[in-house]
Amino acid sequence: MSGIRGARLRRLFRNRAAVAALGLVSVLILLAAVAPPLAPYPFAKQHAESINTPPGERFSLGTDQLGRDILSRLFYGARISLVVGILSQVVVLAVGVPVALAAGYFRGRVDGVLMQMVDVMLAIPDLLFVIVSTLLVRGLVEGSRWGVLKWLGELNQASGNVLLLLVVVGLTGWLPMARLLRGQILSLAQQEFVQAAHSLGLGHARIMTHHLLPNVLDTIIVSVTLGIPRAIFLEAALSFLGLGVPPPLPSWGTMIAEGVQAMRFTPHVVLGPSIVLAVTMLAFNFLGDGLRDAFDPQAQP
Amino acid sequence: MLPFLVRRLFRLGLVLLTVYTLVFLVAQVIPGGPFEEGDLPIERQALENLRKHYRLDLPVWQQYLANLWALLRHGDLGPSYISAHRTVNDILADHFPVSLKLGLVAMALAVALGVPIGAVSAVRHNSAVDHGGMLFALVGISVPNFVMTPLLIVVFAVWLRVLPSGGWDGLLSWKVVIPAFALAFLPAAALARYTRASMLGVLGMDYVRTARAKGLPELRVIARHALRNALIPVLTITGLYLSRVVTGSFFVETIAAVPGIGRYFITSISTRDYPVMLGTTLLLAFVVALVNLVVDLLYALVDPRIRYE
Repeated sequence: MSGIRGARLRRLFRNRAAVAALGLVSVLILLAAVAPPLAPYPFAKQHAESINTPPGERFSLGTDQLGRDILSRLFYGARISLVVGILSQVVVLAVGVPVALAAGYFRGRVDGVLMQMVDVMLAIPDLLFVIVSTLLVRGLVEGSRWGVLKWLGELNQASGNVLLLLVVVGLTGWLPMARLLRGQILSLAQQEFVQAAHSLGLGHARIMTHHLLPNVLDTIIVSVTLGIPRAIFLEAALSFLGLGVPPPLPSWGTMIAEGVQAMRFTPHVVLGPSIVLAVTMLAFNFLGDGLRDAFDPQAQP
Repeated sequence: MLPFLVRRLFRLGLVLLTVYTLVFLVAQVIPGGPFEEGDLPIERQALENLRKHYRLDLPVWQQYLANLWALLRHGDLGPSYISAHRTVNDILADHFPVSLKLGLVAMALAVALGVPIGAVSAVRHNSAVDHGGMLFALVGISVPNFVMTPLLIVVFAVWLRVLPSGGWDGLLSWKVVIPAFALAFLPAAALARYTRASMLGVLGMDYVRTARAKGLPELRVIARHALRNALIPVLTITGLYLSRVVTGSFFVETIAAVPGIGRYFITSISTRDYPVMLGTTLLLAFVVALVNLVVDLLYALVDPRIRYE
């Protein structure tokens, strides 16, 4: 087993693009984690005397239309992007893996119903689904006087809407993964080692968690890595539309939306968050592709 | 062929009815409406008149049937709640053609870029060309169009001043260039990836070896024997992106100031303009179903073994 793992790691580390991406992702996570001491200013601090200042000595990436330091906002924005990007994958795993296991292992009617549901949901465009469900959940939870919902609403507000964002984004992310995993489990469940486990008298749950799950771990790792940039994109898009984190919290999407309004006169405001978002998405996608190639040298993109 | 078409058109109608019903239900479920008490600083009586005018005073099932009947009988999608003097039909008629034209140009660009890049990458597998092509593809897939559009505008309109920064003057204007490229990037990248994968599969086939063995020029082997057979998945992807691109992108259209239909998908939801939401969603569903039908018919053209009964 360790031989296979070792070979995979060696293949991954031979892929220079993937190694660079891994480095970049690690640096991003690190920067986001230690944002406060690194950011030169508080993210909401308005320097009224220097509005829309181009990059210079005092503000290395300039200030926005409210005189806030763009670099500092980018640091804190990284936290929001990465928290939503990574924690939404918990939702993806929590929903996607059990659905895929159940559908692929039990087959028949269970499979039919679950996959029909997945296909219907996949037909709805991501962004549309996310927008509608954000509005729906918000309306449901906000202003609710009912115990649990009220508590959830308050928790969400305290998190700056991040809780709702990562749940909603996660609820679209599990669909492609469940489809992919179910196919693999379907064929794995027919193999001798699963029959052997049956004849030894092992229960369904144990077979699923101890015999099937370890065999699809590669696929899960790759899906999750490629799911992160998707989630980051959706969070930025929602924030661009004003449905994400409320101001003055800095999401890269909000920053781009604000920058776009004056990009013809002060292009530096939109450039910072645009380039950072593009590079982040690129790094995660490179890493995901590299992992896939390393795990399965035969696979074509 | 004819029974196939009839069956598909029947299914198209069924899909549209389902979409109509679903969106109607979602509109009922989303909390808040355009004419809620306390939202607008107007008299109670005026509010009631508004609700009556838009048939919102009727029971839900009567609203559903009355609106559906108006749509089926007269093709009337009703008035917009927000743009008081415009009907949904006006909005679609004014803005959809813009998105359609822009989208067709963008998709032509995407095919012209993506398919050759993918094909060359496959033929020169693992070369520098291949790596460059796949880098382009990954960038296209990674960079969202609300990032791509401002970047293009800042570089080409603000810094280099070679292109206008936005607006719309029809297709024969330089203003098309930036939004068309912004829209084309993602489909071009996806097409490059799928063409490459599909070509790699085909290039290993026996008939390609036979074509080479009988001495055909390499270009002919690739264009006539390999590419044509690799085209089926490419066609599927083209159709998938075509229906998305011609129905407009909220981000590209708002950022590059293109008066297309894309922005109405989003604004109608956030302003609770349900008739517009219904109209745009039906349009999207119609375009998707129509493009799928055309793609299915094109399969038979590309691959004569495929026939429809």
